[in-house]
Amino acid sequence: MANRSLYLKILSAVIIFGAWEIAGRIPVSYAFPTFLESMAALGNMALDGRLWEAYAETLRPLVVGVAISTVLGIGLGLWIGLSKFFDWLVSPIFIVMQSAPLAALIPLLVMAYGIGLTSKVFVVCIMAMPVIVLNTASAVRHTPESMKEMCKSFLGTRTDMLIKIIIPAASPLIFSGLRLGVSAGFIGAILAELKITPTGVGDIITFSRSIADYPSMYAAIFSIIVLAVLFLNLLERTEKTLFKGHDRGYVSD
Amino acid sequence: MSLIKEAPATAEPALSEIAVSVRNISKNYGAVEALKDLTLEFPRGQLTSLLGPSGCGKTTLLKIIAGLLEPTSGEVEVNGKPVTGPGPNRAFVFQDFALLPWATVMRNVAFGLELRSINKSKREDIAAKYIKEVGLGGFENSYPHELSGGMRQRVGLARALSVDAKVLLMDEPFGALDEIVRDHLNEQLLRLWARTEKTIAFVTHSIPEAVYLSTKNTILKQYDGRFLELFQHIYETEFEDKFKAAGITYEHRLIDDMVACAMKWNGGYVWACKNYDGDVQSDTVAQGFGSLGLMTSVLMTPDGQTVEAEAAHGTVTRHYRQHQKGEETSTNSIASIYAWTGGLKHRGKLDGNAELTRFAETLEKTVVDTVESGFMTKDLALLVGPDQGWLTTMGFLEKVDENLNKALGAQ
Repeated sequence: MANRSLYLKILSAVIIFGAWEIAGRIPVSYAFPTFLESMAALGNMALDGRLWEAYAETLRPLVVGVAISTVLGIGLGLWIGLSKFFDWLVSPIFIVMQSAPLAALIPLLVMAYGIGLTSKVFVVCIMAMPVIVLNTASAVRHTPESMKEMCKSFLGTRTDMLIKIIIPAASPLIFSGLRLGVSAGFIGAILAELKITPTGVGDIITFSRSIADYPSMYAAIFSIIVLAVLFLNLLERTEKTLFKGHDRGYVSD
Repeated sequence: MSLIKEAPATAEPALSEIAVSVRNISKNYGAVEALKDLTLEFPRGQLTSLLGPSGCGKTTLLKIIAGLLEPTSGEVEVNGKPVTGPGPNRAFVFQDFALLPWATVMRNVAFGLELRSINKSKREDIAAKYIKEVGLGGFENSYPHELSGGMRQRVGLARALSVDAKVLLMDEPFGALDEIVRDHLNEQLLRLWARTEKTIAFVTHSIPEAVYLSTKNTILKQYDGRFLELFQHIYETEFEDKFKAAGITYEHRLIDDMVACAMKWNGGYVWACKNYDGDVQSDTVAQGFGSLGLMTSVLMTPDGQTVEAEAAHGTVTRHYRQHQKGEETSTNSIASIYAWTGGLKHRGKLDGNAELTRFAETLEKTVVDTVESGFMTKDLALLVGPDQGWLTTMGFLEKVDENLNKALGAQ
């Protein structure tokens, strides 16, 4: 079965890249390079080191932002899930943050924090944090009631309840929130580089476009998509091995 | 005197005959009155069933006794002390088991002790003992999702037993299980309880379950408990030194547990049965097929008269009595059929008798096909849903017979 799904994956990749290649050769637009040209540009950038420099630049706000969002987001989410008052006080902020069009906020951020790393980290956080916070909070609220009662009846303290029942029970959902948060973080990181100051991968995209080097532009876009997909796949795998026992959910039949 | 005995009652000389007393309890949920001015006493060392339809407040009462809910008015005393919250003298068995899905059987059973900050090796020793007592020896490292419903509730039971509370509060513990598994667990519960001084409050909405528990508990309390003491006494006065010198340990075990062990161990034990009855065979089948066998032992005279006929296991006795009275029953006979075909297949292998092997395999396949095509006994039909029709025992066997003849004819 594993083989079959591998074949299917390869097949769908061949179809998509094939279509890309054909569309590039027609060409559908002067600004649309073929797949092979784009891959050649990617190879060139990798060889002359430009790609790696760009990623070192791009990953910095991404890693810092995701790290802050994870720690702070899970902490806040737990608190919101546990306290009705705090829920009332804080969760509207994250709901607004989640629905607000980020691009509109960027000028404000730049005015407040300048064009450096801080603003970019902020953009990543604004993208990544709400889903982490809200997922964590709802996971905490949905801890099975009977498990909490069990903990209480066997003389568990509030700390026991949090550490031994609520967090482990919520962790699969927290983790999937994390996964969504990281993918939103990727969007944030690229958006920051396109909208604030062109650095890293965002710089390659903007610069290549300005000199009409479309293969390089597509190569940069392609590479960031591949990176995001690979990273999310890795997270998903980690999730599956970490929470194997949860696969069957809280069956109580 | 023995391992399982509770601390002597003399430590608290003022203990009355009443373990739990409930006085003028009312509980309202908003405008809904769940309990109204209820007064009730639970005698010490007794199993008391709380019987009533769903939604009549039984579970609420049990949770108030456990200290999980506050009554709107009235008070509860356990061993003479008013209840203000959960306490070490009470343990709860939950209807939906409330096991931690991410923890092994061992950690789940030891969880009550873990919350009491008992160190790991000690709590695992205690838990291991109760895991064996409920017949789950060998499953210590399994996860709840790998266990059947009946086994999961045994974990819940072992967890409640391991904290050694005097009062056991059981909230429809076997309500989610099918009838045969439930009867089997009830019987096991009674045997476990018969050897202790625990007070049990047992909530159920099933009248047969309540009647069964309350009639059988008196017999078992006298019988199993008495034998345990006698054997322990004989062992201590006559054999203990010699056993120790020879490096042999002595244990009094429940028969179900011993059957499970006998099937897993590689010898190294002497098994003395106080009465070898069909339970042993029936439990052996249950270990192999997850369901009790429908066996009967018949004691006959040389001229063919029946002196006595007994269902092999107490659990299926009820069905057997109905059958003797000429009433129709709907008892699952699949485990017994498989026990038989299992024997036939082995015989076939020993004798190189391919025809016999083929017959046994065809029969097994026919049984599965028959059930899958919608013909089954009541216990299975209940699991499928309310619309699933069911056959009587004889009806089912006839259907299997019919299909078997077809299958054999086709070969």
